[in-house]
Amino acid sequence: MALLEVKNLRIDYLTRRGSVKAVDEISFSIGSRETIGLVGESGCGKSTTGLAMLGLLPTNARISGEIVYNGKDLSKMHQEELRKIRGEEISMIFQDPMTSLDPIMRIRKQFFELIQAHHPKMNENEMEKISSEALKSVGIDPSRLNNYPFEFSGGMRQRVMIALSIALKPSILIADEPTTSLDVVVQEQIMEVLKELKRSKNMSMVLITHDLGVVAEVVDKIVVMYAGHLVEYGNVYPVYEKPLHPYTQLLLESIPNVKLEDRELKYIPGSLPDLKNPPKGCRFSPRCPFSKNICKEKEPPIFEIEGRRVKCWLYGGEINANIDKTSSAVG
Amino acid sequence: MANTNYDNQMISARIGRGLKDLLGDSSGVMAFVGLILLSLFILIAIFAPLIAPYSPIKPSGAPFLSPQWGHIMGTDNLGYDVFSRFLWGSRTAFVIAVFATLLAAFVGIPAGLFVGYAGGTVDRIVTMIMDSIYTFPGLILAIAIVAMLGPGVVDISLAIAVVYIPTYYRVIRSQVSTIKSELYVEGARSIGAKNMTIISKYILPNVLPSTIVVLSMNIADAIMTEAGLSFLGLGMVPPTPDWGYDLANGQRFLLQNDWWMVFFPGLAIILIVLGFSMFAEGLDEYFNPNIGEKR
Amino acid sequence: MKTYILTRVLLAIPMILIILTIVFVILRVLPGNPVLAMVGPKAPPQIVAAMEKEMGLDKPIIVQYGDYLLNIAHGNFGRSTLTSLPVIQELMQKFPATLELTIFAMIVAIFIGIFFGTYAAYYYGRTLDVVARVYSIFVYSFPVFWFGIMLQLIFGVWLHWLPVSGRSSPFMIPPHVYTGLYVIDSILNLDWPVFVDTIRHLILPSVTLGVVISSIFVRMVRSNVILSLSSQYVVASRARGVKEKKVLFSHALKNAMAPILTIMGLEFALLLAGAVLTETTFSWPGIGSYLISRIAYRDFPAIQGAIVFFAFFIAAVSILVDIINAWIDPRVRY
Repeated sequence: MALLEVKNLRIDYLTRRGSVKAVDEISFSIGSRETIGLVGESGCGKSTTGLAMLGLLPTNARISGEIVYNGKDLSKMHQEELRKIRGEEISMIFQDPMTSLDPIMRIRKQFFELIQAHHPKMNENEMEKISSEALKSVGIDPSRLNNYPFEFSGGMRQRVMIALSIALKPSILIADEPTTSLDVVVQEQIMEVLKELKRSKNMSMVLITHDLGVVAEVVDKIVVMYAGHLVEYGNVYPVYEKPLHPYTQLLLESIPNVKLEDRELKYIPGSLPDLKNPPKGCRFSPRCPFSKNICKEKEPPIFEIEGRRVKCWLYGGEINANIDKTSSAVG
Repeated sequence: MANTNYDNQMISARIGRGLKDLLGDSSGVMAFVGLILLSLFILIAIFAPLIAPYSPIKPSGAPFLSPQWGHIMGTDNLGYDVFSRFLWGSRTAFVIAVFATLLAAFVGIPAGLFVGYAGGTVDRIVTMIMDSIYTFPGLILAIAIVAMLGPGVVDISLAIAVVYIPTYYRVIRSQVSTIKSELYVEGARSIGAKNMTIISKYILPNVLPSTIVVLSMNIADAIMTEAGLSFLGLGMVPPTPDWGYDLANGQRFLLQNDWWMVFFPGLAIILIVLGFSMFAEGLDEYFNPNIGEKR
Repeated sequence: MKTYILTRVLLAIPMILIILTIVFVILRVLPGNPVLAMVGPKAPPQIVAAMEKEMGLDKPIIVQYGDYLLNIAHGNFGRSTLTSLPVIQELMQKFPATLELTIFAMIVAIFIGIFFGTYAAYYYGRTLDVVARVYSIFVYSFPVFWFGIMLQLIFGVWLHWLPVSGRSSPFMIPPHVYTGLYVIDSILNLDWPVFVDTIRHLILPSVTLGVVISSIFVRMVRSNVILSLSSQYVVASRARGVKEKKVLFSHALKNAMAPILTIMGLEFALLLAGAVLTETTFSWPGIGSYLISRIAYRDFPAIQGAIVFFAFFIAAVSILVDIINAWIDPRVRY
């Protein structure tokens, strides 16, 4: 059974100049000990989805659909109940470790605050023990509990963030672009830490990233999002080997590849649509090299193919016959 | 020049958008209400002789009359009509506040402009002096100056002007020192534009909008300071209609419950200050929507 | 921390020197002969000359300036021409009243500012926020003396709840003066009636001044907390399940405290200006009413002394603010 299941999730942001459809009809599930990758360009709604799983959306967000965790719908849960889940059962780390820790609070106090929020009666010794262990598990010396965040480097701060998020042994860790703001060497180290934790702590993980290269070696399943829509969803290897959706194909091609020197760096022409009035039909159609008339008129449904899901007219209706041709042309 | 042109377009686009949104959000409403209050007091100041039912400096009835028909705000201890002094008082307030503020602006703005542009040691020294004055309570400084110069429109205005010079200086200088290292200024300098040209063509147009806000805010403060000086007996000499003086005068008779002698002059100060500060606030939020849609 | 405090004190010296110089320029260099102002224009010239000599006004201006700075450095503010007492002695006697008023006004202002401002920020755009904004812009336009008079009228004249002026009723002064602050002295004397009397006198002036100043505090607490509420660490601490009250006060507000304190330090000048007006309104026997009453008597050593004293008071407060800031935010210290 799935540990967490997102069903028909829809999130709109109300702004002064109209509502923004940030996430539109997304469904996926996370099994126990499974790692899922939420992939897409920035602004496609992946972080919003992550925040929604913790009930941390800004006040101007309107949410519908279900986020079922342990049989309960998080999206309809009372704030106090949600608070108890956050940090204890589902926790989250953020993109920018430089700003995610309170700059004027010692690390120890930030740990203690987390623990006290969930175990108000725990004594200092126990809290100290939990904090030290958490720091050790990410490779930081527990003596540094005394330090302030500004006394750590970026990579070290992200480790502290991770330690905070796993200190209470949550069942799900949501990592929102955990390595994006770090330099390459540190990125590797942080990914190693995450992989190691995933193994040792029996956690499920949601890895939110724009970088398909990061995802491949860590995740089991992958959700590709574009402009608030889920465009492709399936196990990671099939998706990598034979991406179905044109967007996934282009995304994979745009990963810089050091080994093939002769290939020029690809990018996807065009930019994300305005989510206040998204294009009619498929949202990717303005940028899609295979765009047909129907793509511009009717939003494609989700087709199930080989145990995968894809939201593209190429895999249904009258142009179904062209799949092989087109995909080989791209692939 | 191309650059100025571009900026002008930006500004007119902004104004266009502003007019469209004017009543659409709170800052617009605020500026609008402020403007209405201001216009009202400007009209009162201009037409005081026509509107005022009595002379503000001659007894017009029995002393200590409570508000009633014929004396809608009552009369004071000398039988002066409080309403007439309410109206005429706006002239005193405006004349001193506007005079003082403009005087301060005419010293503070160029000083900030040139010193900020020059930078270096001069900048550091002048800024330190200005900051020191700025951190000193304006009213107390004004008290000291008036104590030496004595009362009178010009002397009071001078005293208040000295107090507000640093405000302009600081606002302008801080903006100039950022703008002068912007690319387009560097660019102008690299093609050999003269310093005066750079200051007048590139820097001044960019810093002036913010001074409107400061100006409006300062007039409000200056009115308060003038009223404060008069309240302390250091301002205008009676029988010149002056709200601060009337308040001090009315306070002497507070125990006999003659509230109208203090309530109305105070109301006048509140409304006029409210007008200026709401106007300034609205404009400010419009020019720097810094904390708009966050959170 | 010690070196930090030391450097901060040293940094205040130029500021004090500048203010002293400005005061000197205003009182000695501006047109207006203090002696003539004191004795009147029709006084015989030999008397004028004698007085000028006594006050050192016959010396070259630069020598006068040096004497002036040296005297202040030695704590010598001259003698009052009205009472012939040393000005410094008179100031020290008046200072506790001013200190007591400003402390309590500050407490009122900070209390209103922090709570109203923080919750307004938390409920950004909602009713409470609108109320806070209207409050701050309205109260800001209250002349402090008008507001004081209105409170006198309502609570003194109409309701007879509180005294309208002075610092204490006759014979209600703490028997032993330890600090000069009547609230503290009456507690130290264990004198309950005097304590009650002191508090009753203190309420209206400190509420008057505190409420007017709170208008500024509310708006700046509000805008700074709005900013810090939008920071990532606020979201992150929520994501850890930290309770909202803690998120708001120990993260958002505490991080907003540095800019808030800095502005509060700057607004202290406004508080002092307001204190002068409040003291006059309530016949509060502090340095403000001392200054104003001595202007009427043309007591120039006293006027000069009071203004210089204010300068030192402000410098002391700004140093204090910076030290508190360094204590809250470790980044300042290092």
